[in-house]
Amino acid sequence: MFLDWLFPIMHLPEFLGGALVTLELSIAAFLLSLFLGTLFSLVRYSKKPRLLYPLVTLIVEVMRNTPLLVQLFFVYFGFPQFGILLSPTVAGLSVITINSSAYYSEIIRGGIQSISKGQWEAARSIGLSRAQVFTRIIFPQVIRDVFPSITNQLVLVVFGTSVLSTLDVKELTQVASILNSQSFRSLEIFVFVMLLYYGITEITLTSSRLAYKKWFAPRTERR
Amino acid sequence: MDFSWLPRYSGLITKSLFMTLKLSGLAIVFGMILGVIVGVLLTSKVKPIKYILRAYVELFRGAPLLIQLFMVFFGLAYIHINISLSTTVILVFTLYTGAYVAEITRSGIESIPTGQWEAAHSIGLNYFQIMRIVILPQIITIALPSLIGFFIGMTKDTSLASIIGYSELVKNAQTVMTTTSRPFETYIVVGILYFIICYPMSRFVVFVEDRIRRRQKGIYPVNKTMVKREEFGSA
Repeated sequence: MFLDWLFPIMHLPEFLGGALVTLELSIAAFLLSLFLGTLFSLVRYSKKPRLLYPLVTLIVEVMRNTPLLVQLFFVYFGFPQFGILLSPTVAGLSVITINSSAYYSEIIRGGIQSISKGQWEAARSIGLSRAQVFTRIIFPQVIRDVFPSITNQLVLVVFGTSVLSTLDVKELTQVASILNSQSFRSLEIFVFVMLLYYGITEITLTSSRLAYKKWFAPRTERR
Repeated sequence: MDFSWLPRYSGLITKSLFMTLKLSGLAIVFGMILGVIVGVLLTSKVKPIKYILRAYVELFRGAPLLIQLFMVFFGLAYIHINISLSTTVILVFTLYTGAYVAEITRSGIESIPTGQWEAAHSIGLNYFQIMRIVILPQIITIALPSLIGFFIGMTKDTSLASIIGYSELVKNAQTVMTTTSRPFETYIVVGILYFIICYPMSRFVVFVEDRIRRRQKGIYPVNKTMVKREEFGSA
């Protein structure tokens, strides 16, 4: 048995390519699901429109209580039965997006609920419309309050993209699997990939911590 | 939609549901034991142990479960350690659960004010007694929501074991799917089964969180012993 640690370094371009795809997928899923999750959370919070509320609740509960893999297979293998053919990337991205928007909707709904009703009333009374109250007064506070949870969910989105390897999306895990079946340098490859993922996670967490400090940290020196 | 195949495969599905529950149950039991020990050691003052365990926790929390599964599954064979597939899977899920439980335990221990340690020391308790009598019982209440929340996630993640061939729900669903050529219905059934397992647990999390929130607001007494002690003191 020889552990050849040069192997992963020799194949660094492939790994980095895979990591780039992972990053792209994660960022796309993150932005889309933050947006969709906010819409979901509004429906869940206000229980309006009346027709949409049960549907959104169903989506959120199903997405949160079934495995991502099952959802993925359901869409990718199940939908063609009705003539809906999706490419692996499209199927994967949409499933991850809807899955994580279910989590975001719960996070953001919790944030909205924790803000006192008096703020809505006060803002309404000085003549802002409901949409203005939400976008200018409530939402910024919610984002500040739930920022750590949003970051945690972002990390879970990054991990979730690794499941897309089962549909042969060429992201980091799939690149590693392919290299593994070509070379059988399993331990080197997966230890290396584990460290790469760790790096991605750390970069995500650090940048979010910096962003939090920059945007939301209380500034005592200002009056 | 056609569910006429369901009775024929109900035996297989029940068996694989049992495999899923077995895996998540064992991972919870072993992972809890490992996690609490590691979590307690993470707060100790012995530097080398602390660094090694921190590396373990960071790595297993910082990489996707799928990569961990691949690493152990292919890696152990690569260094000529041959253990059965189910042992491998249980090992990985235990390590994965242990890392998260350790982090939850550590943050719980660190959230307890140091004054309690000093107070407990001063009445003559030793380290283990303080841990057992004073610290850990408090953490259980604080950590319960995040712990169960993690167990829900982990139970769902057992589906990933199908990728390396462990014959649980999703793996056997693939068999059913290929023989019946009814993927849509198959995954609906599988989804419902997971939902039946996970949904009660997530409701329980909501219930516990609500309970804790009310307690903090003072609607419920903090706990009975504390109330008694107050009465005792005033008398």
